[in-house]
Amino acid sequence: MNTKKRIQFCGLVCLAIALWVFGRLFYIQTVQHKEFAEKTQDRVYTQTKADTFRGQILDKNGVVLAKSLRTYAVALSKKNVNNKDALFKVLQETLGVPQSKLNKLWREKKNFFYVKKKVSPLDYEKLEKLLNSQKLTGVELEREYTRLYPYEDIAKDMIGATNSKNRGLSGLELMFDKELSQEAPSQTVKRSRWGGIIYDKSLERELSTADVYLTIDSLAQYQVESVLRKYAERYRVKSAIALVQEPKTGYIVAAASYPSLDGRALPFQFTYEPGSTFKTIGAAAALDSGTIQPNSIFFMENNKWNVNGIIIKDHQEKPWLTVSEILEVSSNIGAGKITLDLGSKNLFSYFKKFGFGIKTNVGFLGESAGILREFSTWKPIDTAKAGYGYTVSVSPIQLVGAYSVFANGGTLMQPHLIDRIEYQDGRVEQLAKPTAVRTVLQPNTVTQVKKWLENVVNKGTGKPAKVKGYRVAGKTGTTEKYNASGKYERNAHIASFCGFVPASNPEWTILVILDEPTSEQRALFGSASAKIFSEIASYLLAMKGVPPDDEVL
Amino acid sequence: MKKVLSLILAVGVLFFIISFLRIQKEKSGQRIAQLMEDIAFKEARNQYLDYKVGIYTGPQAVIEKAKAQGLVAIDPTKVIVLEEKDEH
Repeated sequence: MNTKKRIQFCGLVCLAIALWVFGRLFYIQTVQHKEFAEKTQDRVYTQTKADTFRGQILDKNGVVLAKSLRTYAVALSKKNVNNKDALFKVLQETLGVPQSKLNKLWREKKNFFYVKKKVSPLDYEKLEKLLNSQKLTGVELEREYTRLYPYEDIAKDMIGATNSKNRGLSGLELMFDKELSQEAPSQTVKRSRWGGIIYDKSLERELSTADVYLTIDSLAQYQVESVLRKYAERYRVKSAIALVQEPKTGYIVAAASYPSLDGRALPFQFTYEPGSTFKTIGAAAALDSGTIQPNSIFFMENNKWNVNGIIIKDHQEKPWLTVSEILEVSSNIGAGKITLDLGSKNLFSYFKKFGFGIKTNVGFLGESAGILREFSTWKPIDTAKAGYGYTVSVSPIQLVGAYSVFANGGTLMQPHLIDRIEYQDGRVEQLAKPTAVRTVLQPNTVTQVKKWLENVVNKGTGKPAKVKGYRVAGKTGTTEKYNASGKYERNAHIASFCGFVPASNPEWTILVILDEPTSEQRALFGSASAKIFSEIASYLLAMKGVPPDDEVL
Repeated sequence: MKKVLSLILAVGVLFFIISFLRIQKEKSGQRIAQLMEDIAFKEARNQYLDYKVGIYTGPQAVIEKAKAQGLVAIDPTKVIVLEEKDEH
């Protein structure tokens, strides 16, 4: 065979081989495609874990109160462990899991078991380094998200809780679950020979979670909770509430419950008969309607007043009291006479104007509307008793709003707890704007009522509420509680104080409630609540640097 | 014959290039996924450190540290503000 023919022959052989290869490739990728695709499916593709991303809850200054962080769950697969003793040593060193626990789990579990969940990224990094350097196998690391609270229990009652799947269970976490969370469903991804995921554009996700900003000031909240807890434990109360509102804007600055439980925010959900703190409402209504004058006086009936066969008692030394004195000494007979003169229809109308009997729509789940019966069902004794805070049930947020009316010149303001929601795409939904619901009282009524309330603190039962250097206005209250059999209990009380400071230009309206204080006799008469008010007010005034308004320092 | 061989060679080269690019795409994809995981981990670590800073600078921690150093909380009524706040 000559050279040319040899070359041609080699070319034909190469061509034949190439044609065979192409033919084989064609056959595998078309005729046998399904068979090979099924075989490679499990080896090539895998499912990522479903996730739920979650936004943050912050106070009005941007201090983070709740956030979700990526953490890890560490698990062992027994059949893949190559060196058990070395592995247990590493796990103990990095995660702090005792050897005894590891041994116990190893004995009890068949193959797969979790060693520790919610492992921080720092501990995960240490663990991974040691596993790689010592070439230890059998450890499986799962990514998860954990909800964390940098300020621990602050505002826990309002914030609420989330479950293990990062979804809201109670409180604000539940109310804003839709805005805060974003589901990231499981995706099918391609896996390389070494197990790593191969990136694909379809894996990219746009975050659409939002951050919820509250009107709460976290430092004020911390102080209020600390003070409330201190006295609640001292007086061994069943529960306690402290609520701070800016009277000019309606914004809630602090709202504390004791005990503090996830999602149980007593400032919005608790209802009670307000007792003597309600005497101010009746007196203001009567003055505003012209039924009484600032200098009106009332006979104290020798401390026993008969209203259609029912005796209302008092313990007054003077036979006649002015309206100011009625509030200063907290006379039930005086307050009852004021509201009886006003009349049930007018009194009911003012109660509605002050916002009692309906929800304030502050924006918290489970808010109570209180109980205010139609005036047509009232007997004269009910009208008299309503004057000193019985036969009507209110929530703390309603009462603080009513006292804010006195503080801001006569307007009922819409209370706000949620300031705004900020979305990842830059949108901001501003929810809190100072909004006047209605004008309740005339300006000269408010001026007079403020003077009465200052007298209560300077001369009357509210003396413990004084703050050195500042004018304080407010009213004490003590109520006997209803028991299960529908009777008032002599030994179970609610003691409260509601007021505002500085009286000349109020920055905050503050309400303190102690439910069934047991330690001290004084607590039964609202003095303890007044003392708590004073301590809270002192902190707030010092924190914000409010100049004193009292002439005598 | 030469033309046919040239065409087959060209097609072969084209397939080779396509296969090469696909392999490179998979390798790059793996590298990108690894980098994204590293970035996500570093972000998580930074956020965790921010969280720890939040705890250490929170009022509870600061008060405990201050007490340990012998500092005493001032009576708020003893704080006197010497100048008016600028309201504008």
